[in-house]
Amino acid sequence: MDIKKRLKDSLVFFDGGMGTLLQEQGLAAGYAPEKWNQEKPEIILAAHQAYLAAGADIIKSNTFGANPFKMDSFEEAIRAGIALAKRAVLESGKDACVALDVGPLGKLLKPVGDCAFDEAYEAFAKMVKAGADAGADLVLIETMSDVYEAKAAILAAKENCSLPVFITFTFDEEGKLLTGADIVTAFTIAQSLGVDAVGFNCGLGPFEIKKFVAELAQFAEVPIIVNANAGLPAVENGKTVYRLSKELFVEEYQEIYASGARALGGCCGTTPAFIKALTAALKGHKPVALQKTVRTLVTSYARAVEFSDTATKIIGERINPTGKPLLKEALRNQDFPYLLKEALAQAEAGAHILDVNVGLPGTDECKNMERALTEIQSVTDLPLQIDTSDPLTMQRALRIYNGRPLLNSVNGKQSVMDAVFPLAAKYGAVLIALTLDDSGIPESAAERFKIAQKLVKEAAKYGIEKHRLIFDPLAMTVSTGKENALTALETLRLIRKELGAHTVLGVSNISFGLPKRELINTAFFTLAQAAGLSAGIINPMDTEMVNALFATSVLLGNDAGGMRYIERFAGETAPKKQEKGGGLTTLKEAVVKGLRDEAAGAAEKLLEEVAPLEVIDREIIPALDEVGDGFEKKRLFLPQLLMSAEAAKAAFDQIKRHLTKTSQVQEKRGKVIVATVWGDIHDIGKNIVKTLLENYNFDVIDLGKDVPPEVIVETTVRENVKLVGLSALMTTTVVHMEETIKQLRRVSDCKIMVGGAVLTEEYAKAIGADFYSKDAMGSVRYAAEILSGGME
Amino acid sequence: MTIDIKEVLRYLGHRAEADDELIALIRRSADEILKVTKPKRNYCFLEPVITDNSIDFGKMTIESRDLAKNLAGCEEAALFCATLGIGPDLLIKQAAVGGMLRAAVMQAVCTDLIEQVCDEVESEILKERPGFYARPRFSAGYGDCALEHQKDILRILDAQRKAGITLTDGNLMVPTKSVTAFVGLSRQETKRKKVCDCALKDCACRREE
Repeated sequence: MDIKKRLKDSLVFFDGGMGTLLQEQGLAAGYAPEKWNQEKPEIILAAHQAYLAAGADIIKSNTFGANPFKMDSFEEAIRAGIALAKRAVLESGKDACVALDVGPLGKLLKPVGDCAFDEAYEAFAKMVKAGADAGADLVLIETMSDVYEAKAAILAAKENCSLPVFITFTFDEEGKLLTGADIVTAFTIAQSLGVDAVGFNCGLGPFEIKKFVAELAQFAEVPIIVNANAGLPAVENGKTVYRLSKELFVEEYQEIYASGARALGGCCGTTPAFIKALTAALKGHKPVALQKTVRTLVTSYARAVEFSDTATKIIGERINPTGKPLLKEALRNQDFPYLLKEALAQAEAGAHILDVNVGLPGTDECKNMERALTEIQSVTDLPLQIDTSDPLTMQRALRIYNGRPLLNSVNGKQSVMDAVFPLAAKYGAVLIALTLDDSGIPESAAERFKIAQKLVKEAAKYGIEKHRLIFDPLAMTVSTGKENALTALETLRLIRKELGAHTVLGVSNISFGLPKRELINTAFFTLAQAAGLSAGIINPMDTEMVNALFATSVLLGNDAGGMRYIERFAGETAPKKQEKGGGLTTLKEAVVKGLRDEAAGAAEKLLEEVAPLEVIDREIIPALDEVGDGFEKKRLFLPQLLMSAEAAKAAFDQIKRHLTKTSQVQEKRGKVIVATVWGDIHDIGKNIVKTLLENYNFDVIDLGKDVPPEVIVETTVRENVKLVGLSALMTTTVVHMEETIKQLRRVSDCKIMVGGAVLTEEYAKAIGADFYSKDAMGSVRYAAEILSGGME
Repeated sequence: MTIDIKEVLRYLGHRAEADDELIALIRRSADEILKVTKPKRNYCFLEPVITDNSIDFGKMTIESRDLAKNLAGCEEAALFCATLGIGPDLLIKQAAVGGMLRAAVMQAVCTDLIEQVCDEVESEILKERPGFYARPRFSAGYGDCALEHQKDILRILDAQRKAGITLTDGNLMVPTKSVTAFVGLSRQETKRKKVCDCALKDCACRREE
């Protein structure tokens, strides 16, 4: 059966739950059902036969958990599972097909879990190959609760076989996946990757799922699948039970069908009797046609942002090294926490999307881009704009990005279109399209518009529709041509009117070379919004720009009742006075008391007269010593210690800014590596140690958590580090600590300090560490002793 | 759910009166954490057969003197998993970018919350077993009970599907704010200690009467 064709004009029925049937046959909880493909094939075969007899058109192979993380011989289980399903179909004489059932791996992906994206991809690839080789008719990726894992599975399916690929997600009652995606986000990602059908399974019953089906139907581009449980699960006497009757189940499916779903079946708790009732009620019905609505959406792993011409979006421009010495320095020093701070500050200031550009001569752009995307996505759920012109970086970034990417950029140059469009097509990206080509940026709006038309035509060859292109009409500074702003605006209007496509502008280019740039920028941003701008690439920390956006929305009638405007400004009276201290509180006092703003203010003031090193030695260090001493004597506790640490950090940030301004380099007290050992993911203790060491002006190299011994050894040698701090929380991971120490001893004479909940002085000695630190202050004292001759 | 400020302070190792500012910070952090918390749990009943230091649960066998001692005299044991979901993990990571204070406070808030969820599960379990008393909860990784057993425990509880709990290669749970534990059920009430009896004598949150 050609399942894709069949779905075009008729309903298709899936089978129901397998686990339920096997448990009735004696499958114990916790025993892998897939093992029965070889151990008790007759039972599996009988289950398939029962579903075929009940009217199922697609039967799912008993391979849900057959993956390398759960089973050693998963490929055999898959081959046997597909063979049984095929045999059942053949013997039934029906025109039914076999879906290779691919469930989640049981691992959470990095950065939340410890499974790398590529590792997940490899696992899915092996499953898909085994299933396709054994003769499956389609791949059904099901019960997905994380879009990143879903992306790995979809790519694996599409790259390793030519079968149709279906995917169903498991949502909770609020319509969210485990890792946070809502309906729009999850299905936008799946559809952008080119799956052939999408839908829901498990977790919920048809009653809960039906409202989600209606929501999906509004933007579904492919057929919708619903495989619901027999109601919500309940625990009874320690066992999960499903209580919905087949009659009520079918009743709910009538509505699901009416909402536009066209592949219908069941999951946990459903039996052949359910499927029989379902097919009896609905077989032969004509599928309900969906209205295709065109939406331009980009997403992160949890959130979608829609481009529209009635609500201009802010794309934060701060993560781009051009003209930003602090960011350049951060990239050279691999100081990713700096990027994270920039990301969070922009998110806080109201950015909807963040641009990420890490192109800097002399650095590895591809590697830095991967790390930047991964780390930024671990602290914010704003969608990111991948900003690079390097094809290799582009390819890798599009692949590992967690969500549907926005790619900056393509333009009318043939070579660029040839390189970028295939990548964007494969990874489902939305593209920023610049209206320039091989002859440069045209002078006139008409010429720029022509390039836009060319881009639309060329994109179509790759199946990229024009709503996936966000055109940049290119703002050039008005200081070199008085028509520049007008030309950009005219191009923008043409694109809106003639193509109906979305637009974006790098707003601040307009004022280059002029004084009071923010005035020009804000005025231009306002004009562009009036012309229908969908998104502005701006600095969201520029409050006037953001305020102008809110005000303009009201004036353009895009903010009904001024609700958003009122929400932003209601209750705001006179601007809050920024008390920057300095007057009454000394820096030392501010740090001792843990007053962050006061410490920053006092430091800023002090730096006008006193050398940075003196500020550190005379004010910050004595303050930290005082607090540290109180902590060790149990007069103060962790919260106070950390409050002071943060105040000290605020002062250090001022010092750093001062040094960069005056092109000086900060003298540090020596390098220390900190790492949470391999296998361990609890890093809060390590992070506290890092904070305190940095406060005491040590040059800390933080290797993160779950760090393999080799990485620690390699870094120690390469950076010629004399002190390494290791943390481990569990007895089981102390083993890896011991192994790391062993490997370090072979190649380095560095000192090693260790800490963590399960360690003791004796234990630390037994595994060969030089020092056991019972708390964060202990590690500071030891570092001072080893690297700079003691605390005083 | 509401947090217990005193408990949070204990987890923070704070052994003195807290000032208003710290209490306000704890409340703010708790509000933020509660917004992203999605507690989930599952449990089942097992019938442990104890021979020496080996406990046969039917679906799994555990070698552990400490667990055998804990379950001695129990006709039945419940096994449960509970989690706050992935939200707190992500939020704590985000908070840590701005400094460790908020992150540490959130961490302590989560410890209090997950304990509360465990208490709830335990009372549900006891509701299903009237006349039984619960022994102190016992988790893989305690004493001589190997962490390795987490694999079987999560499989028996179908923890990935039912609660969204997964394991790292080192058998640590993700989301990290998750707990699995055995709860011995016996007809006799055993006196439960109010003090900590774990080996870490100078632990900051040790409870002593």
